[in-house]
Amino acid sequence: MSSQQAELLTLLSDHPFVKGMPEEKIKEIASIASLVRFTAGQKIFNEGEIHRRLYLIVYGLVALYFNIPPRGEFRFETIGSGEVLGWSSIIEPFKKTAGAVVVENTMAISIDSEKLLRMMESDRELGYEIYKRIIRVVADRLRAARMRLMDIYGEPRAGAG
Amino acid sequence: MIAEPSLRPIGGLETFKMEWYRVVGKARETPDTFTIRMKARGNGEIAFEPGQFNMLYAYGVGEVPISISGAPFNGQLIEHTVRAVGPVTKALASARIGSNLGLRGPFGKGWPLKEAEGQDVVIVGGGIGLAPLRPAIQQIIRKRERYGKFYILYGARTPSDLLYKRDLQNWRGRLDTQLLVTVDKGDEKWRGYIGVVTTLFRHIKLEPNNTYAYVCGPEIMMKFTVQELKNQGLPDDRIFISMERNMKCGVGICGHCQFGPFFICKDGPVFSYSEVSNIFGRREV
Repeated sequence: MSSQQAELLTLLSDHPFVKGMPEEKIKEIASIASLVRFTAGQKIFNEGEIHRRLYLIVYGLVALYFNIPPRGEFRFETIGSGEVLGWSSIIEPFKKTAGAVVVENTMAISIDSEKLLRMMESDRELGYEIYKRIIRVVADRLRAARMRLMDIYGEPRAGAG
Repeated sequence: MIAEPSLRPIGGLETFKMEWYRVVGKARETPDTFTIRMKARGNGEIAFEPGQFNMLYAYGVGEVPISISGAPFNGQLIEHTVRAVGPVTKALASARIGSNLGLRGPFGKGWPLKEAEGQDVVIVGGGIGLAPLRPAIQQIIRKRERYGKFYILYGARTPSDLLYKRDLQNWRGRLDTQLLVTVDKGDEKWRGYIGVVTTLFRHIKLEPNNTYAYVCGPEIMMKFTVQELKNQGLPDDRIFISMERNMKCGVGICGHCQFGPFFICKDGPVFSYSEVSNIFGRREV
């Protein structure tokens, strides 16, 4: 195993998204993954695009955004270390639900989502495990979106008089 | 000067005695929120506990409860952060430097800073809710060696809604304090986190039985923050929230600020979550 592969396997095993999975499954995922680096300001993908990569962030910060003409970029969430970027790569219709732009230099484990889907199809146990974890990610985003809808800082506090 | 325990006798005519303070400084925090710095007209030191509030009086307009948001320098100055939303707060916000404002207080129970000595502290503020937490932050930083790890989590709607931008820069620059700031809506210039304040818990690791949490913001924000702290394993008696109602007398006589079996002005505004968990978030309480 090359030192690069060893580094990838170590970082993947430590990532909260795969933590607790059997070692051989983690090795399988590592075989279709690579380490990638993005610099601040770089666009990773655009809204509506089919982008066949699932990213596990090792360090850094990425903002999700919508482009709203004429207002421009509306950034609504940041994804950082230990989090997952691009869940829509493994959920039909595989189109990105938002754009992603790098806020701070970022390192991520980039997984080929087409290969991952084929792997999940042939190994249903792995497929179940991945979807269970992806649902948690989507549920977290949904919870955050609902809280934003409530405008939790909106009520006046000090001195309504 | 931030005092250890509270000093003003509660009850009796003394409670209703108002003193005039001179406005000596004013800082615009956001388009509608100002921090007013005032000085007592005598030479006495101003003593209060972080988390307590004062009743501020705008001459001829009225009186409102405002949390104490700081006490800089020599103990003769005191700061209040006011959002101009009603007639009295608008009058306070428009007070000119050199003018006088009436003050009664301090009232209520503050943050339990003494109990938290030797422990980690996480402070969670939402919007203008950072104001009552600021004196607690200042005190912890002043006596930093008495506390363990110190986290400040702060959320606001947008970058321009963030209070105390200079303080935020200073706190961020400290090696012994972890400040995380998030906004609901970012723009291309914003380089920090985006998301509600509870998402900041992803970036810290609390030791639940060695941590005190002080939370202040609108009730809905405190509700979700308390849920998150409980998810992290913090016991109810280590979570403290600052409640707000329409405080009037300041000493639990008039009943305007009744909250279940409590009067917020006298028994609060800071409560341990274990005291109020059965009534917090319930309507008509």
